[in-house]
Amino acid sequence: MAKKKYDVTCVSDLTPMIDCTFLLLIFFMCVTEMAKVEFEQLTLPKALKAIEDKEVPKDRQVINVTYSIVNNSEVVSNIIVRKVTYNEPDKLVAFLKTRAEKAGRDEKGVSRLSVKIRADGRVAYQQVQRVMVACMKAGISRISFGAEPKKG
Amino acid sequence: MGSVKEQYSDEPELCFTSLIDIVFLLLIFFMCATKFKQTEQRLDCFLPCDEGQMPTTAPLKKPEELSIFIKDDVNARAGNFERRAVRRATYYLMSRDAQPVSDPNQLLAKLSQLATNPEQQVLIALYDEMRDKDQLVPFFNVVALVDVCKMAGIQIVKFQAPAQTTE
Repeated sequence: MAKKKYDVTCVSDLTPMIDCTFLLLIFFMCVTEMAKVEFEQLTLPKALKAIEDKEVPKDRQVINVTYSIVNNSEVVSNIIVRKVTYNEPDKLVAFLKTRAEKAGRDEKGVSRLSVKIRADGRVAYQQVQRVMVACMKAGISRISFGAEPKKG
Repeated sequence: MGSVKEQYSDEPELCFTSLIDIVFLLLIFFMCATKFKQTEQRLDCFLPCDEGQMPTTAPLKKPEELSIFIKDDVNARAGNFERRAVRRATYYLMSRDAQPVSDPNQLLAKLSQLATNPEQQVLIALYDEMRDKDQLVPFFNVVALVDVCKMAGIQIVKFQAPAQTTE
């Protein structure tokens, strides 16, 4: 008996895999946004009347006030702007003044720069006040607080 | 002679390998470099740049401006800071000698009466005794106060700077 010749070449059909991969790619492109360097990981306070932060003003500076516990007891709170720590008040004021000058001032002399303070809810208000005082010294009047939506 | 046609196949072949490579690279990039959209919101407030250094004992400048003082219950401090931050009671005083209010609903009811004036403003300050102490009022209590003001319909919420910041 003559041996039958079988074609044993294995052909994999890549079409469904490419379909799935493209679907995943489109999903990630649509559903996600780029990780923002200026946003630190925080436990933001919750608020019912907070508004959507979709339309980001052109001249806005985000300042983070972080909260962490070191050695099980010591509370450490830092003021961070784009990964740079500004715990010295003078340094923060100088930075905000530079930003405010770039943004310009309106007819009333108030800076067009607005500041969003993203402070952890557990941080002592004193620390947030430091940021607010620095804003005042830089002539900035418009501020906002980062908050998470509260359902109820 | 007809064997020439058999040697060369005219069917075009697509090489998917490089395409798959690029698509996978893009996919991995998006998976690593992105994060899901944040549901973060914001509460708008104002800093009184021209009057922020005003001491709390000064008379109110505008009739539509109401000061609310934040007072922390110092006696309730016990345990570590983490516990204190959650357990401590914070009171709000609508004037220096007023009865403290700790229930946000009670405060909301009082503020709602005032909010009938569309120009009503609120100035948030720490109570006098707090300014001299360590001022460990947790920030979420301040945000809660701003939230109550907004719920009552008061849109202009200002903050007063601590007196020691005067240059």
